[in-house]
Amino acid sequence: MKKLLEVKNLSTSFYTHLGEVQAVRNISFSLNEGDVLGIVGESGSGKSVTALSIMRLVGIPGKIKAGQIIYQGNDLSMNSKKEMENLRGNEIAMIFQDPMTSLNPVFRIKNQMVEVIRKHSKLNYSEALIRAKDLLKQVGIPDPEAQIHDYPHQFSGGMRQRALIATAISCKPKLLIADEPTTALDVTIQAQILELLRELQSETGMSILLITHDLGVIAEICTHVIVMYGGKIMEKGTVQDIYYNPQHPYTKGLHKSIPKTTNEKTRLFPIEGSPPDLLKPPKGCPFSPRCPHAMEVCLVETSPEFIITETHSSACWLHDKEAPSLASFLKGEEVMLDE
Amino acid sequence: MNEIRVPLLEVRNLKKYFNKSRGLFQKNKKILAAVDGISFSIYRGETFGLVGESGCGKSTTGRTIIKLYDITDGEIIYDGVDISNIPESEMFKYRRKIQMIFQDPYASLNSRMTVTDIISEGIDTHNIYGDHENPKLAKQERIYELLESVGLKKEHASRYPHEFSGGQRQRIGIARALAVDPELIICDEPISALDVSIQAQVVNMLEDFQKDRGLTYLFIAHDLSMVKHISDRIGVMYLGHMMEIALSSDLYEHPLHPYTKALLSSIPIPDPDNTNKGNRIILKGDVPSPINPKPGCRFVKRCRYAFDRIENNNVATYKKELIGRHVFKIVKNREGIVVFNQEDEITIENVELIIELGMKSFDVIKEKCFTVTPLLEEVRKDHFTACHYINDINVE
Repeated sequence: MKKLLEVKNLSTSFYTHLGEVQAVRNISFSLNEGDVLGIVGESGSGKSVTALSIMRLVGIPGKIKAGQIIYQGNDLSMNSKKEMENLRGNEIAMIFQDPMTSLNPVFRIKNQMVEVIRKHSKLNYSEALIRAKDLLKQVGIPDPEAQIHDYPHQFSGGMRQRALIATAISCKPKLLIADEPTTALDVTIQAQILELLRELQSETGMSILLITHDLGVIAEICTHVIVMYGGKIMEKGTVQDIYYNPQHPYTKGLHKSIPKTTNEKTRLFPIEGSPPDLLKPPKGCPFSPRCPHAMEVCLVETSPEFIITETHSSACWLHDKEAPSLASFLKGEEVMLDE
Repeated sequence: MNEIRVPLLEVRNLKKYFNKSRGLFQKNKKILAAVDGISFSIYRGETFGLVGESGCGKSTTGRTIIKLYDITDGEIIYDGVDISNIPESEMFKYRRKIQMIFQDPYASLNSRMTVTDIISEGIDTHNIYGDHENPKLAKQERIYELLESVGLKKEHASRYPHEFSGGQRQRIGIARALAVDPELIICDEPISALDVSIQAQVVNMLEDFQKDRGLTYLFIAHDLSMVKHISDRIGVMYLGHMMEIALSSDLYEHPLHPYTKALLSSIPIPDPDNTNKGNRIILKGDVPSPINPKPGCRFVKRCRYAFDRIENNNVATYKKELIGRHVFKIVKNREGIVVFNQEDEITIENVELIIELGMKSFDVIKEKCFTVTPLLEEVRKDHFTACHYINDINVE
């Protein structure tokens, strides 16, 4: 497996009049060619800012404070504006949550698609138009010949998202960043879009970085998962690691707070408390104020990444040698369940 | 349960139309049928879930029950009394019994009022502590008690909504609803705007209140797994019609209506190795427009069962059978140009085009699905569906 993208010690902050909001704090991960990597987290966990940082699209008052973003061996933070522009679309493309706000309402779909295609290729207008129609057909727009002349408001939410995906894949990017691509859509449409992404991925072999808050969506499509909380990575691993052998108390808490698909009626186990304020993030582990297993060390010092298996790692002091044994940790878990 | 249960709320043939016509004389009448003749009952102490995609009319149903909208037609029977057409003066006492929790905790609290003001508004309006010897003190105590019961602190009483997080605001909204001791609470997507870990907190709290105070809930949401978790019975809506009503476990295990089947199979399951990717039913197309709906099943455009296949054995009978019917799905010719759109009528003129295509058979919409609106009927005990061909579809 070849490494496509590597993020090293990335920190991004927003300098607001209230102070520095530390949206992403010192995160590192990598993405191999052909992988579908999911970033899951609650609102304010820093998942979208991570994506924007990779694209170098963080605007004022935000700033990438530190870290490297290495794409195919090149550090993107060294790139000039021009080089970044070349990279966006051609190599890395992005789709956003709300398909209405990412399309310009006063231009026809065809103009918006042709503009992108011509910017990144040498095709003339009519060739680009043919390409745009092909793309719309590929993403399942029923009648591209006629519908390419429509304005965005004539498209439904699902169709708009399809049109955006078509535009994003028009230059055959190696990496597609999808920021909550289905959150604004209904479940039946969500299923259509996920199916489409899965098909496109297997046809083109591109990598996908999928950002979502829905553990269900991750399980549907991803091969690897990163769990973020309070601007930090809590746990990362393959999708099987995260779903069948979660190690971090936050990941476990997330799993328990969603209803079971089985039929017995059980009570949900919420994570008490609320997410941290990133203006003054906790000194230690961001999850420590809500963690049922928090120890003294958790409050004062951030946990390093503990390697569990080759693919799986978790940032929790409980994995430290000096921490109470895993047996008592598990016992604590049972007590929690009994309550 | 053999005893005869009396419903607390009964909705009969409820309709809510919005007039979308433009212009002085409203030449092109545009009626948006948001809720188009739905009926269901909610029994005392149960949670009735209402699910459906955006635009299916589930929120309008909730808002119409509490009479935030005027009713176009139908009856709302609350505890044996028809409240659909009573004057506001009489409605007043029912407003205390039926409360509502709204979706957006940012928009549903007045940002210029303190938490005390927000919660006490209902108490004052209904003059709950009017004959108390010290109404002010009683009210104050009540507010503190409510705040504590929703997991907030006394100190929060004098704060303003902007000082709270989304989950805390939703708790204030719940405290406001509980302040007047209601019997029925309409929860309109109460958890959709909250984070996963906070959703569970709010759901647990709602369940506790139900147990302690014997509340009845109408729970409106689009998150199907959460609705299943909280509801005893569930109604599935599509474009203003009720498609299926069943016990929550029955609905998820044995959905009968083609729409419910598709809807349930599109829920992403948080289990990477056990997703039903293989037998997922992916619906084609989008929800059609609810403006000026035609009679017939609302789901016909996306239903995968609603067609008759007409075989081309003899050109003369083939033509005869085709004429007057409607095209089931888009038909393109070899060049990829659309020849027929969905629901196009086949006439003497265009039937030749079908012959030219040279297909062995042609799919047309089932006549009954296209023209007759199916009624909600009990097909099994406590399991209602609205589909003409329910038995044909569910043959194993």
